[in-house]
Amino acid sequence: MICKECRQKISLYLDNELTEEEKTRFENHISECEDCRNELEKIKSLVKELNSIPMEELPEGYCKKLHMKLKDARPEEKKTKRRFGIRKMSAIAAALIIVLMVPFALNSGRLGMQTNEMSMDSAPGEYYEVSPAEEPAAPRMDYGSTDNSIAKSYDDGDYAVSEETEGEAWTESAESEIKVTVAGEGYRDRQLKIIKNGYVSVETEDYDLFISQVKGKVNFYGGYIEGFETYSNNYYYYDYEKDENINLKNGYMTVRIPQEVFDDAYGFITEDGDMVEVVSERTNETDLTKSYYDTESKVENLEAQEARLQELFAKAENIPEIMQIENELTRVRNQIDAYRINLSDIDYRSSMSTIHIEIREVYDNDKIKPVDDNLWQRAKESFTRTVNNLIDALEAFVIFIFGFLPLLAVLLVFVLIVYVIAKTIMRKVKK
Amino acid sequence: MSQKGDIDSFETLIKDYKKVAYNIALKYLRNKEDAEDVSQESLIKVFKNINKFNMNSSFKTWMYRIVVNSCLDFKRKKKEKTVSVDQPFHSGYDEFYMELEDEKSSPEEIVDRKLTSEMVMDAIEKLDDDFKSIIILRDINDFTYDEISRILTCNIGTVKSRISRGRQKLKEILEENMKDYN
Repeated sequence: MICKECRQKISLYLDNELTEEEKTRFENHISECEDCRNELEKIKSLVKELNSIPMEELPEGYCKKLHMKLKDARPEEKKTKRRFGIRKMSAIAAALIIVLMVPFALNSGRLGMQTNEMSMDSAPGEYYEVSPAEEPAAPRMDYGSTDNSIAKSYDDGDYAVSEETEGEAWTESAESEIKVTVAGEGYRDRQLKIIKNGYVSVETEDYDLFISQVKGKVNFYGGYIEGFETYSNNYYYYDYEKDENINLKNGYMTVRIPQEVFDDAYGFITEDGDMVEVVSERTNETDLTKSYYDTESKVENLEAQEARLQELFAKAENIPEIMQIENELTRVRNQIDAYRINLSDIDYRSSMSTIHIEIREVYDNDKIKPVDDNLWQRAKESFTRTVNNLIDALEAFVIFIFGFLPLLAVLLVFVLIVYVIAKTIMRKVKK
Repeated sequence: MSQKGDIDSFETLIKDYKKVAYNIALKYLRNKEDAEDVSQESLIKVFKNINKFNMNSSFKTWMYRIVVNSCLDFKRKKKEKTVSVDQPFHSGYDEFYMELEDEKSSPEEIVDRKLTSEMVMDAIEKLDDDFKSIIILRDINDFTYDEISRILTCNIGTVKSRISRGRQKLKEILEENMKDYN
């Protein structure tokens, strides 16, 4: 064994990492070579020195600090937990949707059966009642606050009552719905809660006159102007003759009209007058009848619950009981309030319809025509002109041909004569 | 269980390891405050990532790997921030050198200076990171070759050769230092 190899093995020898064979070879070499023996001793003492470096104790408060830091690190763990919670919640939501769809499915089945059995004239009525059921989710979206309050009480989960609320409310609404489809009559008495919206865009020659007319009409119908804005320098018209710009006004108006006269008022605004041209118009209606009466039945439910709680409250004997009932009462009242706000909101929005009017002033009578119309008109004119020209050209050609025909006949005869003469001459020449 | 991020069970789990973790950091960083911070940070890293830990491998070596890497990271970052001693500062038009206290001991002390652990640590400081890690783990904290190969994620052969060369290097540095002192 050479020294270089031996030096490399020193460490392994010290750590007892050599095979038996290597070990004997190493020891043999060491006994012979003094340099290597010295080297081994040096490394040995070095390792000994390194091994003797003491393990230091943890500084004071180390564990405490670590514990605090771990606690701070905990939120991250919680988040993952919460994420899991969301997954759970979405599962619950999915289950709810399915539960919600069951009554609808039942109803539609029932509808099919009933229309089969009933005479035709009763069918439209049925249709009207059931159609809102198609959108239990959509109108609900508007009332996020309601749903939130339910979800919150659900989260707490401490109270037996709160746990029931949602399910109860839903089955309740489902029941009432079934009752309605069966009984039918009660539902018909109910006032429809329909929110109507109109969007009108008009162009007028006299902005101020139109505005004052609309204002007058709105007052006449018992409505009011919710919002109105006018801009006087957004548009202008360039008058070539006078060589100047004429400012044109434009504006937006939001008008609230009692629902009963919505159609009249809307008709008035969208009516084309001498100076007014309607560019576009659109209306939509949102039927919140079902959502409204569902919420109402929820409120009734909660009110019954409140009454019950108040009875309990009167009977309560010790402070904890009183506190608990008080808490529960507050929660129920809050929910009732939240629902009531929704109801009054629907009441308000359905009793007064909204019309959004966009008004634009135009300068010239010609200009009143919508741009699209003009374009189409011009395109049509141009098309007709071209077609006419084409027809003219064709006519001219036909006339020319016909006019040329006699001349052609004469020419033909002439050519024939020349040809015959030429042929006889050629024959003679050949001979 | 600690896999679910329970602090108590995690603390029980690392009960026997945190002292070693601190000592490893102390040998790398040679500063108690830094060692405390870095070792705690790495334990928290362990705690946060415990879900990612593959139960088939050894928790101990996985944990120490995080400690070692945190120490090396910390040193690297600190190095970027430190100023050079032998390069002049530039401050406007003036140029000046950093003045340091002479740390060398008085001649009387040098006479009876022996190989102290302080000197050994000074020498370790001068080793490259690879050798430093191997000396700290093998000779100071007494890990086996197998454990070291897993902590440093290299194969046994590399560990063996690094241990040999590391000790050799360390011995050379110490001899050099002794010559300087005498």
